[in-house]
Amino acid sequence: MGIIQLEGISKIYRTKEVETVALENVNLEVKEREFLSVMGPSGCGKSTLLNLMGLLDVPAEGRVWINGTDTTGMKDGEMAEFRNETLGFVFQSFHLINSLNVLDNVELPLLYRKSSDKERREKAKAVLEKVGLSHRMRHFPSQLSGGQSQRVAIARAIIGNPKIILADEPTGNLDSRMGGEIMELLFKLNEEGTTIVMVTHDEHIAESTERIVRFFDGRRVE
Amino acid sequence: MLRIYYKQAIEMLKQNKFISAIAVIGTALAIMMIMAIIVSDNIKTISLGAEPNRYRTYYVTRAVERDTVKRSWSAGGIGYDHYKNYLTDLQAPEYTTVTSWSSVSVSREGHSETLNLGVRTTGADYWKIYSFRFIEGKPWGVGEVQSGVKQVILSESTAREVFKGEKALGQEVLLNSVPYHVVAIVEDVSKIYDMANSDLWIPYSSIADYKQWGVGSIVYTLKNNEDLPALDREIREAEKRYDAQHENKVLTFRGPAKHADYRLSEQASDNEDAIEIIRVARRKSLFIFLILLLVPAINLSGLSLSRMRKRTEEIGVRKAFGAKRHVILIQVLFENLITSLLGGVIGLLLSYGVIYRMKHWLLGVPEDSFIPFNALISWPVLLSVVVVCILLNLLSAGIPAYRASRMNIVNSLTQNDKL
Repeated sequence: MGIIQLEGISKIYRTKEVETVALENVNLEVKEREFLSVMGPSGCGKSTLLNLMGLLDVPAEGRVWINGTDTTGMKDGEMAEFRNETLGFVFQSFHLINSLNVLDNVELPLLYRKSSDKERREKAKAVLEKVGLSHRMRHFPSQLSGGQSQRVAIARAIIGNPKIILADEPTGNLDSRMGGEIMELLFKLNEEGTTIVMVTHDEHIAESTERIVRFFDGRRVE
Repeated sequence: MLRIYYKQAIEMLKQNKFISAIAVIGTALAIMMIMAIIVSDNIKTISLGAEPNRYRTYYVTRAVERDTVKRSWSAGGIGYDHYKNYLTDLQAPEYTTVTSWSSVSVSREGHSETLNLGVRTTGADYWKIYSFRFIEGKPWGVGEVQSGVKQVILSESTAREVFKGEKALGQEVLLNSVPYHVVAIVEDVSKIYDMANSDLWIPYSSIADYKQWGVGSIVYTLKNNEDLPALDREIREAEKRYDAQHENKVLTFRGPAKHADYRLSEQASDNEDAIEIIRVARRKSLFIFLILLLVPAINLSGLSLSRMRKRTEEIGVRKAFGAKRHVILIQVLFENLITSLLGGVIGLLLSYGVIYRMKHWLLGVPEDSFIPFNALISWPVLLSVVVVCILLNLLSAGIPAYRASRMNIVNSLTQNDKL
């Protein structure tokens, strides 16, 4: 069994008027230490798939296995704990908290663990060093460039030492040079043993990863 | 974790100056109104300064006598006979005294100036129950009271006013043209101490015909409040003893009432009525307190909700990285508490301003009355402001915090969720 295993996953969004099938009977296995790209046109269900893998949402049907654990029926609190320990997220629009400085943003996942202030500080400084932003620790997100913001987001994603990083178009808001730098960071993390699932529109970037799965209209087509 | 919440709350206040200022001012005004009432009430009841034993002091203020045959009744202050034969020498109190207040014309032999001042009659234990700083001289004891000697104690300002800088101790002063010997000078007592304050003090027995005029109110100070039922029992037994000795008469003493209640209980027709009057007053206070708390809380709740709406993305991020619902709830309430406490400090300071400007209305004392600093800043007041801040925080941010904690993560991240 892979580190991520999706079995017969469906996701339907319902409003009063319409019912939209976002994913239909999706099966997918992601192996440990793999770097997988998910591609497809807008609205094909890529982000929905990533949200389900990240336990940010629950499927209408099917089972999601993460790191050998069946997450079906997990309670809200259990899922929060599981996400905190196993998963890291990198978003296209960074999602940094503007009222916290870089160091406090990076510390965020450890706030929800039993970590001391000192331990959090030290780990945050170490990961900021790793992403090359130790000189920006006291800055606020509004004082950073796009590339720097995404590096902070990566530092935040890896501070808790997760086995899996889920990246939703991490280079989508960056120019090619900055995008390249971010991809280098992700490759480095993957080399160190982190499993990465990345949603991207960029064929060139996707081809640089180990494997690509393609979606169309909520179905896996490749 | 709380350190980061605190830092974030302060940063958010800085980043959203206008909204933050409105929230802090709104909170401060709400707390100002509530604290003006709480501080006023505290000033009236706290055991402090000249009245350090308020918490264990009880008053019997009136006697009501019913004639069961004539179906008539008479009511008034405590008569000398009531005091001497029925209400003195009780076992429960540590100290027993009498006191009454009236105005008196004060002059000096050979001087034309006459002043109209307040005089308080006292017994010997009065000086043990209330606390005065004697600048010169000492108070009278049991012997002087029994002898009916005409002695007077002057407040410092009265001594200055009457004797114009001359030494007052040992001199004579005319009270309603009767000569009294000045035996002591005490530091002025603030008018907020309604049982200790006066311009002059004289033994109750120094007044001519005091046995006919009565002694005013009786003051009992207990060793501790556990003795209150015993005091009540002794007073009720005294009533029965009186009734047994006076055919067709039913006597009721109003009290024992605690310091906070004795003024209210004076309006009552009997003790049951007094209890009801006190209950009604408490209910009114509670109602006003709730209105003063709820109305601003509802207004501030809208403000909290609008501030939370701007943070839906942040809540999504926090939940994605492992924040549980209760953690979000605590965070929102904690951050809001920072605003509430900031408003609380400002509100408390404003309430002092209100009390100083509205002394007569809030405390029933003249506008020029001095309020000691330690009557304003006391542990009950500080504790009250913290409790009020927490209550206001829970009422104004409780619903926004609850809703924030239950937001869907994906919708929060895409900011599609309506809080």
